[in-house]
Amino acid sequence: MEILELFGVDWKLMLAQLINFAVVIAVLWFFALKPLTKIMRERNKEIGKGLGDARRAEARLTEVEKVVNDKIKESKFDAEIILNEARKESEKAKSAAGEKTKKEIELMIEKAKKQLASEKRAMISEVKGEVGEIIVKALEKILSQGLSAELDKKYIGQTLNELKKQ
Amino acid sequence: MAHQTTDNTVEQTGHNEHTLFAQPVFNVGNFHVTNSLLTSWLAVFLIIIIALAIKLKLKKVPGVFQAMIEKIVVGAFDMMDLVTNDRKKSEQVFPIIFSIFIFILINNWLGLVPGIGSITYNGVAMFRGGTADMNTTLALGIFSVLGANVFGVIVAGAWNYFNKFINLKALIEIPKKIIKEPAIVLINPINFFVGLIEIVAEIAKVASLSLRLFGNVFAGEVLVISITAMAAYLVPLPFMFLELIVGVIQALIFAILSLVYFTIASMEHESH
Repeated sequence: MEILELFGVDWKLMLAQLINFAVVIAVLWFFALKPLTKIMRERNKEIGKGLGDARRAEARLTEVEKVVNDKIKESKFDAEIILNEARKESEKAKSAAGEKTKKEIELMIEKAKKQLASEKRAMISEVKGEVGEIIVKALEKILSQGLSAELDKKYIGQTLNELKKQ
Repeated sequence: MAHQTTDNTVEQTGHNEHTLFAQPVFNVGNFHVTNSLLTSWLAVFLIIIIALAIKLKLKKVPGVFQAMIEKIVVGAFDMMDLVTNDRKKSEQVFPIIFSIFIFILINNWLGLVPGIGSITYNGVAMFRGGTADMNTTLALGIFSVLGANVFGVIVAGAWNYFNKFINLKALIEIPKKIIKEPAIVLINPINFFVGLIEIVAEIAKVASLSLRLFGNVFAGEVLVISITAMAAYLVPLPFMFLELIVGVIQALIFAILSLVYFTIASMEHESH
């Protein structure tokens, strides 16, 4: 193998170069490529997951938005109904309360009238009595000096009748 | 024999001319430490530093440095997929192929560093491109072809792979199928000899890989040195750039051819 000699081929040197290369493979693989590819794969997985999550979140968001819109519409509708009802009810309550107070006022007025009437009557009868007595006493005082009992009575009755007519 | 050559080199190095083989810088016992081996050690040292830098700077959210490395790695994977057509297979051989590329590239470029050839020790240039030495390229070529065959054995199974070269299967088949297809008497012996030729082809692969790389890098170094000897300023610059590109291309060719050999070896399984 003269050609190998020409190129200075020596199995020991070849072995040394092989060892060099083996070291290179080992170092590159364990220090650089293995952790690097691992991290890249993990990152790819994470990015894929993140994208999936984002897509899912978006879908969920639109779904939720739709639900929320529906709910808002529904609640608006409900609120209108409730408001209408409340309005009606309050009107009803208002009118009912007005009638009640009217009635009460009427009742009170009537009561007051009745009371006034009865008081009037009582006062009149009292006044009648008192006036009668005063007249009697006055007449007694006057007549004690000369009028007979008969004339007395007659005169008293006449006056009483006149009083009654008033 | 080897001694004689190295003796010659020591005599020749007095003139510091570029020899076809690497020159021993110093001896450790019986072992000649050549300038190419020294450069290779330097390359290994650099690669270790780069790998450690990557290891230490590794983060989930990449910085500029890591992004650059990742870009290279992703590009390498994509390129390998073009050859293997199979991401899984690419991942299996990636560390070997990528290491081949990096090791050869760094070695090619180290030989080009301006002034690196002028550092001498005992009158011998201390550094010479690692791949400008037949020992390096032959070792890599043998490694690549042997590796491809080992990969083939792992993927296809030892018996199947053995029959790729010594095609006993074809011979055994003859009595079984001879009644159905009489032509098999002619075809299968031919297949058997094709298998034998495959063995020669494997040796040819080693020779082509190692000689191509050695030839290109060595020629490049000689070219740059010659041009520099003619005109030291500016004129060698385009040639330096050319050699930088050649360094990348040769590393790439070596790596891709190795990948092709690996792929072919692992494909035998499917075709049989």
